[in-house]
Amino acid sequence: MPYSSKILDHYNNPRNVGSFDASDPTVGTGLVGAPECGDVMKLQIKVNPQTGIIEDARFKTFGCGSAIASSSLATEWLKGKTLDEAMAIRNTQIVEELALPPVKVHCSVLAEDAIKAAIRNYLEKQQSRHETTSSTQASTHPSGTLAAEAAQTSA
Amino acid sequence: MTDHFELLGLPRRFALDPQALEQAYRLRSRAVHPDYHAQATQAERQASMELSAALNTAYTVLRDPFRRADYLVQLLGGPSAAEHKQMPPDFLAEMLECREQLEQARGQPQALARLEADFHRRSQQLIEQLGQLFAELEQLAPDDPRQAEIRRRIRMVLNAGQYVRGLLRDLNAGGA
Repeated sequence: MPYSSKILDHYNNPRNVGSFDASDPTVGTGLVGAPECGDVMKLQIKVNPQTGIIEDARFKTFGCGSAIASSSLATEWLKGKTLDEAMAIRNTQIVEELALPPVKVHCSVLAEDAIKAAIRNYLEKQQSRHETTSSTQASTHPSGTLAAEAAQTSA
Repeated sequence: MTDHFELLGLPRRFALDPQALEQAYRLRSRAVHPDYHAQATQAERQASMELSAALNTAYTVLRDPFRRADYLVQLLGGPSAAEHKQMPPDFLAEMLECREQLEQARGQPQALARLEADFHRRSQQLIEQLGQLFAELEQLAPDDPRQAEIRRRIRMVLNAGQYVRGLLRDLNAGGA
């Protein structure tokens, strides 16, 4: 199968491999997998809570070269983006950038899922922090809208 | 269309006596073997060849507990592998850990052997879970609304089986 030079580059020199402390409140962790091939992908973002900008990203992927390249590229793209901009990243952009062959499109889907899962995880953490700090006086507020939304989309 | 169980004259159940399967397959295959039909017409020979191929497929699918469960859960209404891929985060975290252990065990035959035993044990546990879930399913009336939920759980066990199979495949491939 002919792989593009970009896939090979990311596969041979993956960017941002590693982990952040998943318990850090400014870190969002997305963990996704593909049962059909047994691939597992962990993608983490580190967000500046003041600006809402993703300052750093890490990944760890066990899978084929295309899955590794897709997540490596995703971490590069995530840096410097706002959460909204990150949420707008589509797998088709990854397919295009890496020139993924049709049989490997699902790897880019996995990367998009991982980005969204990481963002949801970060938002849930922020939400629950907000709830615990304000729960004493804000019992009348409808709580957990963001987290509830996130939970809905993940279900 | 005749399903794999019917073709072999076996009850449509996950619980299956391996010897009964073996025997049913052998008896039926012999009866339709093309060698016994050398004098038959072209059409008859063609039919017996097709039946023979169908028996082979049925036997191969039913012999493997994961493939048998996958086949049966789809006969019963799904979900198919494509329809339900989601796995709980805890499970994915566990698989990530297994992958990391595998990575670290490379080049250490003893550590690899321990992992292989662990993965086989996981696989065996999943087969047991399939047995329990199908038994639960059989307790329910066909129109019981809880059927769908149990079938969904069966699909999740099958998905887990795919991940474990991937681990074993990569362990034995020795690469990556």
